[in-house]
Amino acid sequence: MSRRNLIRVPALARVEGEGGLTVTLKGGAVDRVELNIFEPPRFFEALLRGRRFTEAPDVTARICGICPVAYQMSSVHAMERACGVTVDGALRELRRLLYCGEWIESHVLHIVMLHAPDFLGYESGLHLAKDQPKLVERGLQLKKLGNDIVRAVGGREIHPVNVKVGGFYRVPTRRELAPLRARLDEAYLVAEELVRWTAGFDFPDFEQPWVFVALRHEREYPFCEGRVTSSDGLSMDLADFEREFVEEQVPHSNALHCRRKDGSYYHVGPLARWALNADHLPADIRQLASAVGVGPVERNPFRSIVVRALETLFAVHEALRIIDGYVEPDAPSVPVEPRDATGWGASEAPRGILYHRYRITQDGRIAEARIVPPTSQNQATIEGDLRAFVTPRVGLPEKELTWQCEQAIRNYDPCISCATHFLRLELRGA
Amino acid sequence: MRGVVIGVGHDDRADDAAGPAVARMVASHLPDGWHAIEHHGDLTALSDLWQGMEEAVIVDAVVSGAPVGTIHHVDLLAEPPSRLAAAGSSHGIGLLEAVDLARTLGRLPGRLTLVGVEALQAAVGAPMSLEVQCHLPVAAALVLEQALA
Repeated sequence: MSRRNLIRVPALARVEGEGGLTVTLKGGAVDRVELNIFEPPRFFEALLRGRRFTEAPDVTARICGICPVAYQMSSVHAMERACGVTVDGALRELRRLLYCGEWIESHVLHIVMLHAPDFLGYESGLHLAKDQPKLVERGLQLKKLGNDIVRAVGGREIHPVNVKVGGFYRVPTRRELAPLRARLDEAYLVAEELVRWTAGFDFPDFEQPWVFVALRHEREYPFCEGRVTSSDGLSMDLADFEREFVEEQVPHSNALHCRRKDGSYYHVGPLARWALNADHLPADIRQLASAVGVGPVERNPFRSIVVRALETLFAVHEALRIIDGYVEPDAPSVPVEPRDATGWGASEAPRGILYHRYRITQDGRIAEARIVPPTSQNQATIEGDLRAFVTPRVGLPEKELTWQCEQAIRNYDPCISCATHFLRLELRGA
Repeated sequence: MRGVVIGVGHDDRADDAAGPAVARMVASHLPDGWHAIEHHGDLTALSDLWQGMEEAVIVDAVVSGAPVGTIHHVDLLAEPPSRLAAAGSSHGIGLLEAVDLARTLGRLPGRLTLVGVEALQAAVGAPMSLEVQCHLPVAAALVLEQALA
């Protein structure tokens, strides 16, 4: 096969997890695009069977070290729905605060260390830090605040230990949250700076006619609750998720691909949330978005970095609101008794909808589990993007085109570990 | 405060538990001015853990091709990072990148050392390999020797 018939990236850089890319050209046109996920699957859904329903948040949190809160929230909501329990009031606010922490740390890591280097011509976040140390330092301090919020509410910054079905094992006092509050005002300024900084990048002229899918809540920008909503008119309860969205095995990937039942693919993540929920954002954030040129719907995947920065700003804003209004609840959790039932839960992980379904038994055992992460749902979309992106650019020098293909994948901040329900540690020798 | 021992790794990931295990072993034997912590998370935050310290010792599982259980003692301020085994997680950045980032941002302590334990595997839920278990006391002794120096 000649050099120009194949674009191959054996190992993608600056993404979470292990994946590669193969684009096959034929007659100067794109013939095939494959996002190769070669991290082996870990079979978490099978691992959960037989375990107590109360273990789901702790077990599923281990699927990912970047978005463990998302797994915990999706699982507890599913279990609570199965058991006919609603967690409300201050406990619900604490869950949102926990999620704010995760969005901040995940989004900022991606924006500053993984994605911004692409737009500025740097090989890595480290090279960016050498030229712009103050900006990177401020970004890392903002990220640290996100981690500290997760630790304060979740008990630990990675794989939080304080989350349980029904609420928490322990709730923080107002005094314990006060140091975070003191840092949030400065964090708001840094988050605003990130919005303006990313909005000033040069973006390739490229748009895709995706169908967006996200949770939509009646009054909030969504974290853990809402109806599954699409930009082409879908609005459904979570219980109908698997009737509409189908997972399938593909030969070139260890991660399942998702499509709608009509075979079409769809887009989840910050751009989807923005398109379907921006009206729920605080007015000053919507004004800032308008001022920096972000429209009500963004279809250029490269501009996802700006929307992530806006979501980071929202997470800081929401954390401020929650902490300012926080009243310590009387109890850290509500009682939850198992019953023979099925429960569905979904939350908006940094990368998009994370769906869980569990069937549990009267004695509290998990009989069946189903987990659909956002990166699985975006895999076909990423391949579709690459096909459309590469086609008019096949004349570019190979090195430049390969780099742009990698950048196109990084638009999605893919969590390959989640997609395979696995976190693999690769240690390379000297 | 004078120094910190940072055990990097995950307790439920086989040999990757070596770092936290050594941190726990040395915690109560460290001299005044030293403390030990376990770090399970993102390594971009590593430099926050040694802020204000004169020196830091990082303990972590590594893979270099040496026999399993081999103890590596590396001066991270002296060795060019590119020559060393890139220990780390597929999440975020690895240990050497974290050290390099700290160097770039002017956040290095006066002395920074890696005590690495050569690992066999880091499978989720798997037990620590016997060779690594047997050599943890050696790693701990090396850490204490440095702290007491």
